[in-house]
Amino acid sequence: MVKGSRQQQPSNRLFQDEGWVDHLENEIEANLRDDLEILLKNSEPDRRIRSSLEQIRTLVRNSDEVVLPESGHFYQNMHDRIMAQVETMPTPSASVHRSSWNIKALRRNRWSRRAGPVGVMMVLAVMSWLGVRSVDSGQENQSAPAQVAAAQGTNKSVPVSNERSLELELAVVSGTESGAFAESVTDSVLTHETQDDLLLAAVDRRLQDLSQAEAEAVLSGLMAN
Amino acid sequence: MKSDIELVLDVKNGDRSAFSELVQRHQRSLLRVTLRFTRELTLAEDIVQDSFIKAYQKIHLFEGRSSFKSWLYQIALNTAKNRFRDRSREEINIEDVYLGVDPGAESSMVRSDARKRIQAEVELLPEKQRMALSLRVFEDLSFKEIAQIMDCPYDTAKANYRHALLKLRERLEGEDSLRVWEEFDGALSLEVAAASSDREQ
Repeated sequence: MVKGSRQQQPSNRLFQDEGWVDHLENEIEANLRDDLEILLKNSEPDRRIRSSLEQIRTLVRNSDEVVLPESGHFYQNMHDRIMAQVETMPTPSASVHRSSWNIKALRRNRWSRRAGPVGVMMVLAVMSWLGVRSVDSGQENQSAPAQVAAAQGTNKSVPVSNERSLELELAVVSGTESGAFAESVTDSVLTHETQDDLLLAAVDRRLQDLSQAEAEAVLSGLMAN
Repeated sequence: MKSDIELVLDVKNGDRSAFSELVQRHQRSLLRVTLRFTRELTLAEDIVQDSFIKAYQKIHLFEGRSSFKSWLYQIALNTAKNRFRDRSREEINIEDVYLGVDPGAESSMVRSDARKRIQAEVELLPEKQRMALSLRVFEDLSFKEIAQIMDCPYDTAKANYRHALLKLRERLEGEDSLRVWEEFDGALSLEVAAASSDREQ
């Protein structure tokens, strides 16, 4: 169905100009194309508009003023300049490194920069104490081995892994541990590049285990130092 | 010969020679489309180089949802727009327009005037209409590719093109001094009746 076919447009055209642009660009639906061919044959005003659109298009195309350099040297030089820069850049897939992002995120944490390694060690010590306190309330103020013994007696599981891994991390950082333990800890922190980063990661994990109030208490104590 | 997508995958796997192939394949067309908007060869060269560098840096983000060429064009046109952002739109000085007219060609003066006239009208179009028209008429891109480059819906790209062509027709058809002739030797000759009668006088 040709749009406007039953209506007389001011210029006696039976089809809208926009539609003739689509026809010129082969953007007309197949079922409409045949109708438009018939229209072109029988309607002089529509034939004129279609023809003038085609001529304008041709005019524009042939008025193209852009003339590219023809010399092969020109393009070779441009290519070489581009590739010279590309050669100095890391390969795109290697430029996105999640672990380095994590380290950067940790480095942005102001408290860790202010604290320094000594301050971080103090935080770890505090957290170690807090870690003991987080065991079941009925077993507070007991040492870890005592807690294990009590738990075994009552067939309860005791969360000793957190404390043990903290000990390992402290040992690695202080350099007192070596061999298998150090290796097992470092395996879990392979993405860290420096000892500081290892400290930061350990501290960050511990902080995540603390409640809001506990974390704030630790940090305010750290700032005081 | 590898397709663009295959070359992109090779680049992602660390093969820089694949990127060299992509540069050789697309640098000419990229320069053409950039030069059309900048009108300065040196500036267009800079933009093309920057665009390829950006494409290399961001190639890991290219997912193949559009063609590599469209993606590259989009980078180039955005780079060109950023360069022009602070410039106010200058009135076109047709004397500065670089014309590729063969000085030995017959009626070269007539064709030169006509080209200037048409290009001046094209420059007066709103930016999006001008871009859609240029990409369609000069670069022979599909409306799908134009939509990808202009980052707009398919129908919007088509609408911009329609409006551009209809506006040009309205402006040029109203000029009594212009008469359109049939294509001759690959170039369309326009008779500027008023100009030719002035020369005779």
